[in-house]
Amino acid sequence: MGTAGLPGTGLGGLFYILLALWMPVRELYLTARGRGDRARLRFAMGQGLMALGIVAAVVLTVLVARAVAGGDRYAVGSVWLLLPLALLAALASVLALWARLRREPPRHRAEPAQTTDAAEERRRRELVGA
Amino acid sequence: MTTARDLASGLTVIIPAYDEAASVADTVRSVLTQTTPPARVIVVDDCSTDGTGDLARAAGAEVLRPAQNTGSKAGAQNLALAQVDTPYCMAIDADTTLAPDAIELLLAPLGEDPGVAAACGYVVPRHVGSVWERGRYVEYLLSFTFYKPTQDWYGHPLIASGCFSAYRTDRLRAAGGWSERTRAEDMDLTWSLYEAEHAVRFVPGALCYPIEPHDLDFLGKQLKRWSHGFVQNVRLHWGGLLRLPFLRTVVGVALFDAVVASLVYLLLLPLLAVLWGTPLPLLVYLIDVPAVLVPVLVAAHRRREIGRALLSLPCFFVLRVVNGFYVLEALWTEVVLRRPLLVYEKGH
Repeated sequence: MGTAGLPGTGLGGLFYILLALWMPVRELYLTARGRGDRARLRFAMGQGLMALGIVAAVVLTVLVARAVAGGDRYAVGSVWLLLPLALLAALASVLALWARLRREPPRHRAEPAQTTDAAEERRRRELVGA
Repeated sequence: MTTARDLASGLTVIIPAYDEAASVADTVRSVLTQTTPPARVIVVDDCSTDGTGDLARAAGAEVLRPAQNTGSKAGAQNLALAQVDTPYCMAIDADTTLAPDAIELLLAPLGEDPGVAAACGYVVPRHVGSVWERGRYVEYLLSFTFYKPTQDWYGHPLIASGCFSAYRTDRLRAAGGWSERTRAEDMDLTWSLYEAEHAVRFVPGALCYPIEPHDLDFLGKQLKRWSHGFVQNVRLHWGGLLRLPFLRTVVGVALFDAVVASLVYLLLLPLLAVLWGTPLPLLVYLIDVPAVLVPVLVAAHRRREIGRALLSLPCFFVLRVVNGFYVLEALWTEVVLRRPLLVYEKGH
């Protein structure tokens, strides 16, 4: 299943852009510390450049949209940038808080399992929330 | 040092098949003619009615035929898994062919790192003709060029795709094999492996070519399965995913995005267009064309398929709207009505 084909508000894309922009930064840091890997650095630079290309495309789209729609340039530009970032930060924070509140004991590696019918039925009931 | 041939000599390939006479022989042949052929190829002929088993046997595979249809792809794969006596196994769809070096490349991370339990490859539709095949082609270029490699760098490819993935047999068995509790057994298995603290890798050079749905009826059944499978897996695994910061954010953002955007695409935008008496709101469907174009053209350039990608680009946006419908249907049925999709239907 490819979630890339799902409709998006842009938050998912923004998240991946931020991830991809961080990759070369992290790899350059590791390289400076003598713990780098050339192949990983090259790869991270490629993903980072792609992310910059996407950002440039988004900026171009915003400029064209503003030119077509008119309106206060500065305000529209700020909203376009800050609102999605704020939403993403809020969503990530909610998820982190949820994880903290729900704290479960660490799981151990699964032992070789013999799946039984009873276990499958329990999972099925778990799935429907029964 | 373990060579590629050593790894492949410890590999069993499992190919589940129900009425796949049109494609199974090509799949078996593409596996047997690999640069590093596997030790065994097992086709599970799941009570086909079109001679699938005979064709697979003639192409050179071992064929298992259960007494009655197992009911799902996962069921068929588990039947073969019980017979696997090699340290590695691989699942390939019966309508999927492989690049000649796909197995060699896909097994590499399993040989290099004992912490890796599974590896998945790069998917490209074999046929790119209809609107839906073209849309899926663009979707895969975007996903496997930008999203999945990024997920892999952070250590968590979201899904080891069921059409072409390799596993350490012992870890696969410890995870219970391919579970039939959801309609997306590949996602279920991948997330189960993460919860058990195993690693999964994405190998961009390991190419496979599945046959994608060519018409809306076939596509609809696939999207229904995938959408319901996604919702089922989020409900099932959410507690475990919360402990994994990267995955909980990826899945959480994807779910939020899919819900809100699907409502916007299917309800809000058409409503605004009608209320305002102008088609301008519908431009939102295309607002991210330039953004999508960047990774798609990068991928197309690498594959020397820029013309094909540009021609197919509009189809991606059509597919995306259709996808939104199935996401909302799945959420409504699974979460609100509490009627999970239990029947596995491929659709061809």
